Amino acid sequence: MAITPTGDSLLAVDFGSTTTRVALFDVVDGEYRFVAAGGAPTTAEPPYLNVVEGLRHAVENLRAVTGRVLMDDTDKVIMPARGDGGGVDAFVATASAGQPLKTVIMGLLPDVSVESALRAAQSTYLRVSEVFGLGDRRREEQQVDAILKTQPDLVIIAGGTEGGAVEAVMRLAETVGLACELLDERHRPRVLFAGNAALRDDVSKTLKPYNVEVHPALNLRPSLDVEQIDSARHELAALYQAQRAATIGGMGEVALWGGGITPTSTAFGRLIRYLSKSYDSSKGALGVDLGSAHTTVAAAFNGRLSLYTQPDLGMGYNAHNVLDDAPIEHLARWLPVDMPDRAVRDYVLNKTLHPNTIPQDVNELHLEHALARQVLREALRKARPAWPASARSARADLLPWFEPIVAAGGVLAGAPRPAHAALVLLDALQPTGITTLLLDANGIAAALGAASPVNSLVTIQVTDSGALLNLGPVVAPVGLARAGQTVLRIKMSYAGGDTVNSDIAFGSIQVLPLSAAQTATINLQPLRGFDVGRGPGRPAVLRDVEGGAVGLIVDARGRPLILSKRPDKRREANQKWLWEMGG
Amino acid sequence: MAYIAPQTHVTPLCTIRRERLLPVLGDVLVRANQKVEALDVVARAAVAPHHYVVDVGRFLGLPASKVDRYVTRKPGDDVKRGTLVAARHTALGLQSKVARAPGAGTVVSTTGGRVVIEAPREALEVRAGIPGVVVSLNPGLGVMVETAGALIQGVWGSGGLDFCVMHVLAETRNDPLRAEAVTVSHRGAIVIAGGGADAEALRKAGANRVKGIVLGSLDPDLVPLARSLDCPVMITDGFGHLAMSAPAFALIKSNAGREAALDAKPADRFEGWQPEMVIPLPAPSQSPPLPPEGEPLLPGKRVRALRAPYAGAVGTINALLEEDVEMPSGVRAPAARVDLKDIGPATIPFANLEILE
Repeated sequence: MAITPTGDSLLAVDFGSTTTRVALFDVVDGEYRFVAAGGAPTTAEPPYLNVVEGLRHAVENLRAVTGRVLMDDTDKVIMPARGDGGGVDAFVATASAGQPLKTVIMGLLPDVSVESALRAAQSTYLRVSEVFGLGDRRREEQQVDAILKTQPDLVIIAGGTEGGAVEAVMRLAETVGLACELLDERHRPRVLFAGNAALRDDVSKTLKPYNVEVHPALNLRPSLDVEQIDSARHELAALYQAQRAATIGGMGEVALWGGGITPTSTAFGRLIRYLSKSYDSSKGALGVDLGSAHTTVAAAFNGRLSLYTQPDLGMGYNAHNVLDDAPIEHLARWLPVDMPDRAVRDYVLNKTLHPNTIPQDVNELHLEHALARQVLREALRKARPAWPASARSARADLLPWFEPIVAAGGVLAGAPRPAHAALVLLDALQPTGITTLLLDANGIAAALGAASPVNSLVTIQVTDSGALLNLGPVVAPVGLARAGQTVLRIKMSYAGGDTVNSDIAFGSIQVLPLSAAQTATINLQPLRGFDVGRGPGRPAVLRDVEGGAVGLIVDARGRPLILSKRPDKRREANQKWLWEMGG
Repeated sequence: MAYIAPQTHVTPLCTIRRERLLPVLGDVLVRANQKVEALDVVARAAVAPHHYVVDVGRFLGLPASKVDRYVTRKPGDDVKRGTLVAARHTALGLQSKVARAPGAGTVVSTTGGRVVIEAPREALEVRAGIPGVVVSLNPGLGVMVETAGALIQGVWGSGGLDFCVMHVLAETRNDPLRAEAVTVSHRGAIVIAGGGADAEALRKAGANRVKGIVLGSLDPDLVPLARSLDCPVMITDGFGHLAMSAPAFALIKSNAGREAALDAKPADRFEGWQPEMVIPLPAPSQSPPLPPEGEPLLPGKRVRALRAPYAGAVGTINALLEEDVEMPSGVRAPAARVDLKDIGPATIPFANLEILE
C-alpha cells in the first residue's frame, strides 16, 4: 500500500541481521537532503523478539545528532511532522533480518522454468532447499516426503509456456496439494504460481481444500525464449514482507507505519536500476551490498535489473560459508602480511560466532578485508550467469562495463580510509574501462530505493547531492603487456587551470590527485592496444569529471587480476597496492 | 545512549527455565508441578518416516476423477505390503485391474485418484534436558522445566544431550584435554578441560565412552571428529587455541564431581539458543533470580573481549568513553576502558565486548 507523502521529511529504517539503521531525509534549501543517520543492534531475535526495541535505540542515536524527537512515548514514529521539529512526514522500512524463507521450487524444464524460478527466488531472502523438475528421478511419494521434511514456508510453482503444458503443471500442483494435506495446518506453506496463466484457477482450486494461499504472478516463461521475472520478484517481496510481519515481533506494527516492509535487497536493486537509467546508458550500473548474513549483487542494464541475493553468505553470521566454496588460500591470498592458514580459518569461524565485532588491530583489519574480497567474488561469480548476454564488455570473461559501482555494507562503510574500501572493490570486482565508485558510507542506499515509490524526489535529489560517497573515478585499461611497460598516458586538466601528466605502467595502481572539491578534463591515450572502453587503442576524453575521496584511481594491474603464485611476492604486492592507494 | 551487548551466561546460581517442545503435535507425558530428571521423556509424537503414493488411476487405467468408487480402503485402515487398495472388475468379471499397497502402513488419504499410505510411525521424543520441575504445559507440544543451579553457556555444540557426573581433567584453564588423562574411570562421565584437545584425546574419550566433553576451544580441523563421537561436545570460548575463560573454569572446577546436564545442541540465534551446561544445585529457600538478559554495557559489568588483541580476556568495565576512539586498525568506534585480568587496563570497542555473567 503506497503512502502518499504530504510533507517534506522522511525517516527510513533498515532492519539488518545485526544492525538496525535509521536515516533522516528532509528538505534543505528547497531540495531533499540526507540529514543524519543512527544505528543500534537489531533486536529481532531473543531475548528481545521485537524489532521496535532496536529501532528505538537507533532513533535515540539519531536524536543525539539532530536533536529531533521522532518517536513518542509509546514507541511509535511520530507522523506527520510537528511544528517543533519533531516527527516526520513519511516513513519507509526495509528488512533483511530473520531467517530466510525456506522455499521449494517446482518446475518443468531445468533450463527454462526451473532456472527462471531460481532466478526469481535469488532476488530476495529465500533459502531454496528442494528443487523439482522434469528431470527429477524421485517418485511422487519421495517428492512429497522431501517437502514434508523441509516444511517450507513457500513453494514456487512454475512451468508451462502460455498455451503450453497443462497436465505436467497440474501434476506439480497435485504433489504440492498432497504434501499440504499431510502437513500440520500450522506448517502449510504459501504458494506462488508463476506458470501457464491459463492454469491459475485450476491450481488455486487444487490447493484450496488445504487452506493454502496461492499467489499468482505473471508466467516466468511465457515462451521458451522470453523470461519475465519482475512480477514474480514483486510477489516474492510481498510474501517476504507478509512472513516477516507474521513471524518477527514488531514488524507488523512497523509495516503499518510505512505501508509495508520492503526486502532490503529489493530496495537496493531499485536504486541500482534508477542509477542505470541516469548514468551512461551504454553501460550497466552495479551494486554490491555486503551484509552480515547475506550478500546482494544488483546489476541493471538500461533499467533492466538482475538481482541476486545469497542468503547464506555474509561477513558475520554466515562468514564460515565462504570456506565451502573456496579453499582457505583464496582468502589468504589477499593478505599483505604473513599469516598461517590456520589463523585465517580460526578468524573466519570466530567471526561467525561473533558477527557484530570489528577489527581492533591492523592484522584483524587485513583479515576482514580479505574476507570481504572473497565473499564479494563468490557472490559475483554466482550472480553473473543471470546477466544479459548483451551486456557490453571488453571480453566475455571480464566484468561488463559498469558505471557507477555502488558498494554498501558495514565492513566497507566502516573502513578506516576510503582507500581501503576502494581497493577491496577493485580487487574483488575488477571493474574494466571507466567507472565511478560510490560508497554507501551512511547506510542509506536501501532507504533511497525504498523511498522511490513513496517520494521519488527523495531518491533523485539525495542521490544527486552526493550522499553516496564518491570514492573517485576509476580507469582500468584492459589488455596485455609486460610489467613496467607504459600502457596508458593520462593528461588531467583541472578546472582551475593546472595540468597533471602521467604515464601508467602495466602492473601498477596509482592515484592521481582529484579531490571531491575538484573537477577536471581527463584525456586518456591507451598504448599497445589497451582498451579503456572505447575500443583497443582508442583514446577517450572525459569532461567535467568530479573528483572523489580517494582521487582518480588508475588500475593497470591487468584484467583479470593475476596474483603471484609466490606467497612472499603476493604479500609484497598487496602491501604495495595498499600504500599506493593511500591505505 | 545504552549499548546492549551480547551476553553469555557464566552464573554460579540462578533459576533456569527451559522450554522443551515437539516440532509437531503430539502428547505431553508429564503433569504441571511434576519433578523430572534430565533424561525423562516429557513429550512424544509419532511421525511418519515416509509415505507411499499409489496412483490408482494408472493401475486401473482410468482418469483420476473416475477412480473413487474402485478404492477399497479408507483413511485409518491398516494395510500390509500387497494388500488390495483398489480393484476394477471388467464386465463379466473376466479381467480385473488392481492396485496394491507397496508397503505396510496406514491409509491417510484416498482423494485425487491416489491412495496415500504412511509408513508405520516412529516415535519422536523430547527430554526434559535438566532435572527440575515442570512449571507449565504447552498442550500437545511440550513443557517448561525449571531448576536452580549454575549455568555455563558455550559458543558451539556438536549436538546431543546427557546428564552425568563431571570430571575436570585440567589443572588450569589453559591445559588441553590430554589423551593420557582420559581413562576408563571416566566412562559415563562428562570430561572437561580448559584448553582444546587433539585428535588422540578426542578418540580416547570416545573409546572410553565418556558421556560428554567440554573444552575451551577446538581446532576447526577436529570438528568432524567431534561430531562423530557418540557424546555431546561443547566449546566455551571459540575456535583455535583459546583457553576457557577464567570465570567459567573456576565455576566448573568448584563444582567438579557434581552431576551436570550438558546440552550441546548447536547454537541457533533465531531461537536464542546457545549450547550449555547446567549444574543443578540445592535450591535455597528463595528462588534465585533468572539470568539477566538484554543488559547494557555499564561500569562494573564483567565482560569478555571477543577479538584480538585481547580475544578471550575477561575483565570489568571501568568506564564507557564519551567519544568514539580510533583503534590501531584505523576504525573509529565507541569504546570502553576495561580492566582485564592479568593484562591491565585496555580500550576495547563496545562491539568487541560481551557481558559474561
